Amino acid sequence: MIDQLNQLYEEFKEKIAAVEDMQQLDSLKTLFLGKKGPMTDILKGLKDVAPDMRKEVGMKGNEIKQGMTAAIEARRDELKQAAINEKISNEWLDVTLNEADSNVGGLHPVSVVQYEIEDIFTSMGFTVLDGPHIETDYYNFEALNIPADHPARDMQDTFYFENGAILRTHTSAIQVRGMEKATPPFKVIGPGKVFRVERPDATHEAAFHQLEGMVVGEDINVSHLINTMKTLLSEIFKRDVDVRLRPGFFPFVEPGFELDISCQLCNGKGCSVCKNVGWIELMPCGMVHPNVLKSGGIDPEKYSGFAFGLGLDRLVMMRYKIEDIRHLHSGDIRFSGKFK
Amino acid sequence: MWISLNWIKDFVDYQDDLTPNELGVLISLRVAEVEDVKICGEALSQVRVAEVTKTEPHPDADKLKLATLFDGSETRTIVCGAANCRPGIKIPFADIGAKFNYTNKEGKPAVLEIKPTKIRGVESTGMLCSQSELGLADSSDGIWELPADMELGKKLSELDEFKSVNDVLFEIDNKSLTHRPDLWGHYGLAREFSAIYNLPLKELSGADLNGSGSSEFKVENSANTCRRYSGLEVRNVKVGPSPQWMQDRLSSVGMNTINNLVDITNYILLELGQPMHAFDVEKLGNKTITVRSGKAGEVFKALDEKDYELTEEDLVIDNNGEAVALAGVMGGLDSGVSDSTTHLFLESANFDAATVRRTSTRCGLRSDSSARFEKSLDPENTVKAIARAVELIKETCPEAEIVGTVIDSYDKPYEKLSIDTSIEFLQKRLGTTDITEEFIREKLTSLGFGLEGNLKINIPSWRATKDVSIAEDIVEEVGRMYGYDNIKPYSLEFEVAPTPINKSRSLERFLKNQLTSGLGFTEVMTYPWTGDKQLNQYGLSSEGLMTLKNAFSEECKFMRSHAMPHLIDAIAENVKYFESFKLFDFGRIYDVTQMKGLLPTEKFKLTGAIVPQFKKKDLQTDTFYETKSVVEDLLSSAGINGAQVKPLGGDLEKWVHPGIAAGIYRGKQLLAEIYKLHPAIAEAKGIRNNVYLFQIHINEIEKSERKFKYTPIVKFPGVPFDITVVAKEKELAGSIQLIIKKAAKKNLRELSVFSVYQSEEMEAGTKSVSFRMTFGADTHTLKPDEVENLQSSVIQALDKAGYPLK
Repeated sequence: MIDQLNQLYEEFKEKIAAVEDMQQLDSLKTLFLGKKGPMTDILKGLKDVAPDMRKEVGMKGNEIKQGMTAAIEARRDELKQAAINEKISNEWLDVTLNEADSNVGGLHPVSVVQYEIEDIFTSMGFTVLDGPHIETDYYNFEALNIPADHPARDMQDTFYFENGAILRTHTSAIQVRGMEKATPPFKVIGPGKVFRVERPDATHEAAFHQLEGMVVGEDINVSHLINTMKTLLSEIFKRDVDVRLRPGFFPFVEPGFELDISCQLCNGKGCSVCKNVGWIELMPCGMVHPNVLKSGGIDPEKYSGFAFGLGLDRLVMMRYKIEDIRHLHSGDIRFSGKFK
Repeated sequence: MWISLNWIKDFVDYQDDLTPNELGVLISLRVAEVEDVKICGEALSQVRVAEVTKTEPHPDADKLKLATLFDGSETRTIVCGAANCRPGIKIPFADIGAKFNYTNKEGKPAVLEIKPTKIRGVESTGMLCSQSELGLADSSDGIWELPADMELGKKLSELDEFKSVNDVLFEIDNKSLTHRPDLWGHYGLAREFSAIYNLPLKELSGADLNGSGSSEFKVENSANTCRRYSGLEVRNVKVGPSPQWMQDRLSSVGMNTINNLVDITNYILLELGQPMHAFDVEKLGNKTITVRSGKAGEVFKALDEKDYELTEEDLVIDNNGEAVALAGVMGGLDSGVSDSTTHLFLESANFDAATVRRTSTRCGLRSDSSARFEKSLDPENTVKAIARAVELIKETCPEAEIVGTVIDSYDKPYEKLSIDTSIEFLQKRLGTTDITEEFIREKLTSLGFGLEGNLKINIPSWRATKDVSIAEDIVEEVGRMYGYDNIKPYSLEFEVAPTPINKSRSLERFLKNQLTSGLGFTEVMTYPWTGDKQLNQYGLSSEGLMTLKNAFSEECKFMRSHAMPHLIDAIAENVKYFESFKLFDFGRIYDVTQMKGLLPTEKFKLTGAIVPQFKKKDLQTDTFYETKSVVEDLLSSAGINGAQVKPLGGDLEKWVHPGIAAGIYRGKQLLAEIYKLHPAIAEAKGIRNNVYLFQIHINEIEKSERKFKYTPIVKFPGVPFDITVVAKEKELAGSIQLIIKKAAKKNLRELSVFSVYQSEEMEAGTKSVSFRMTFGADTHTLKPDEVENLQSSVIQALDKAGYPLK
């Protein structure tokens, strides 16, 4: 009987060495260890074995059965590993090919910059306002303390409609509309398109974008303006920015300033961009003129404020080093698809 | 405008304690923007006087010479190419080691150093200089021949003759002087220097204006727009060149020199900022000067030899019934100074700023004079200017004599203004108490303000014409003198309060982000205007549109009332470069059917398109459905529920394909449109691709209720049911779905079309439509009889509506 077992084991070893896939392995398992297989038969026949031999044969039978089971599982692992190895060696792609389009489009660069700046302002408690493109003389000029004979009102600068309305020439037109609805203290910005009579070329546009800002409250002063601008511009340029105020004249502010920032290219050391002075003129700003506060229904005896105007297109052109401002309104996705 | 530092030093003893560039920055920070700083005569310290003693031809070059020089101690030979290089002349000589600053081709400052060089085999150790090489002229012909009496070996900068050449010039941005009439002459800037540096300001000199006898000149000034008219008759003048110092000074700041008399009026314009005009008395018809309005149709021949037609808005100087000057803008051709002039009438007046500006703008005639009058000049300057002019005339024509004295028509003196404010207010508005009362008083006094108590401020005449009138203007004076850069920044203090959100802006950004980051669209921007050409192409009319009076082109004459034509135009451009693309524009239209006073209603439109690759004979209807899904997804993610897709109703625009056009409605409200581009427009625009367009009416979305509904996850299993019905070819699956919905009511969980089929075996003009639906209930699993009931009510309803089972 033991011989029979040994012989069967030898036969098993021979066959398992020839097994090449899972299917053969499973058949082998059934063949030797299945309910109708020889091992079952042999172990069933154990009762006929002489009692003194029964223990020895039983142990031998179990030993062989375990050996077979282990060999089958080991072979199974080998086969799995071989299958994985084969996949690894067969599956290969040229990963440098572009076989599918990305499903990501792109915002227009003016939107990218405008939203980024809006977010900075809203994080600091500013509310975003809007106003019409087509404005009355009142909101664009008169309420902003721009007198009737001021050069800004010339036909060569301002688009006039036949009915006397105009295209707003600056986002400052949003100021008075905003004040009419607000109670101080408040902090607002008004981004948007503005228009000037200008034949478009690489650096001039008839339609462009500005962002107006205004803070009104009790005892708002010049030092607040400097601090706010320094903080905001450092956020916008994502680095510490130095600001410098110079006297500047704009009818809707008094005092009015030109705000310079330290040149971002040379850090203020002087380069061709800043004409070797280390500063770049960035934006007009100033303390809101008492007449403008009055136009907005705010008592200038009680409240004061500051306002500023940022040229968005200029920031866009500076950030992306865009060579021609006409790209902005071209509708050309060769241009606007680049700002993902 | 160019400002000469030497000229300023005539009035203040500025001690050059800053470098020219530092001084330029200081002027920018305290007064007005300096755009450029030019250092003149710098090169003169690099050259010495030498004499050419001998010249010989260069052995190896026809156009070059070998020149032997003597500089008083040494002799040497250099190679020179100038034609005028010859023995006996004195020239400026740059020795080895001399350095010249210049601006290179890239516009950057660079330094040229003279080094020994071999020129065609002959060593040259130095250079003979021309005026242009020394920065004294823009161009010059040959080397500079110095006066023969110059001392050999001396540096040119040490010679008295060239003292005036050593100067620093500042170019001031005219725009930054818009509100400062007093800064349009050197004297005003000198006053700023005196305030910045606490230096005394010298008085402007002038001659005594009492002459012999009396003048027959009379001034009649009835015009409201001439505040003051001062004049003086001067005899025995002689026209000739101006003294060299005056010519140098005028040309250094970019003013042409003409003759002594014209130069003097220009000199005063640049010094005091007061324009003057000199009439030749011999050429006047009589001795009465009348200031009057122009007459419609009157023609004036100006100094520039052009004729200008006048209007009643203009102000003219009349003599003997004829306009002899366009007040404040330009003198007349026939009455001005010429070479033979001996007898003058000097005009120094104060004209109304707006009048001068209107006239000069209308005539396109901008002069140094009009640029100044436009700023509202100080009327107190007219006589000072005449006194200074006479002083200068006497220097160049000592025989000149005044006839009588100044004729001064000054009935409308300026209003003396004062401001009541306080030291505390000024400190508070600037945000610092570091600015002391002493500082404030000192600076305001130097600037010419009169101070009384705490604090009444009397405004000097040169700041009172429009510049300074309220306390905030004084804040500016103190702030700029202190230096805004010296004010410490302080943070705003505000109550803690939430920031109100702009909901329209949030919706705009939400939609744009969905389109760009999830759906692969690219944003473009288009112009808000349109013109007849575009309107015609798209079958639109310009009638009633907002019309610009001063459009620079016919194509931007009107404000658009539709956004889609601009998008289609953009598509037509982009198909040239891309096979397929998706784009959108979020812009405004100007609706003139809803006017609010002068203003139309501005509405937001989101227009977009999917442009698939060009395929012949394939409608690519899947792209239509893709476009439709994009819009439906946008609307539902924006919170719009219960909207329905129907064929687009109403009159369709010319660019809409009538057979492939859907509207998304809520009730009767049209929220969005999806359609194919009309083949005729596609053809006209050269677009071969099937273009599927959409437009979302943003204002309608804003008006709609927007809510996000949560439906609980179903607990009980659903029962599927498929059904196929026969319908006419152009029946809408959507209408059939409505019938199913009505029949199955709340037990209908899902419903979709899974097949639309047409074949020859079917009756002509019909199709079969297959629907898949799921029935279910929220409270229990549907029982078999419930399912059967649902099925039969759906079948019956369909049958009743004319859709029999297939």
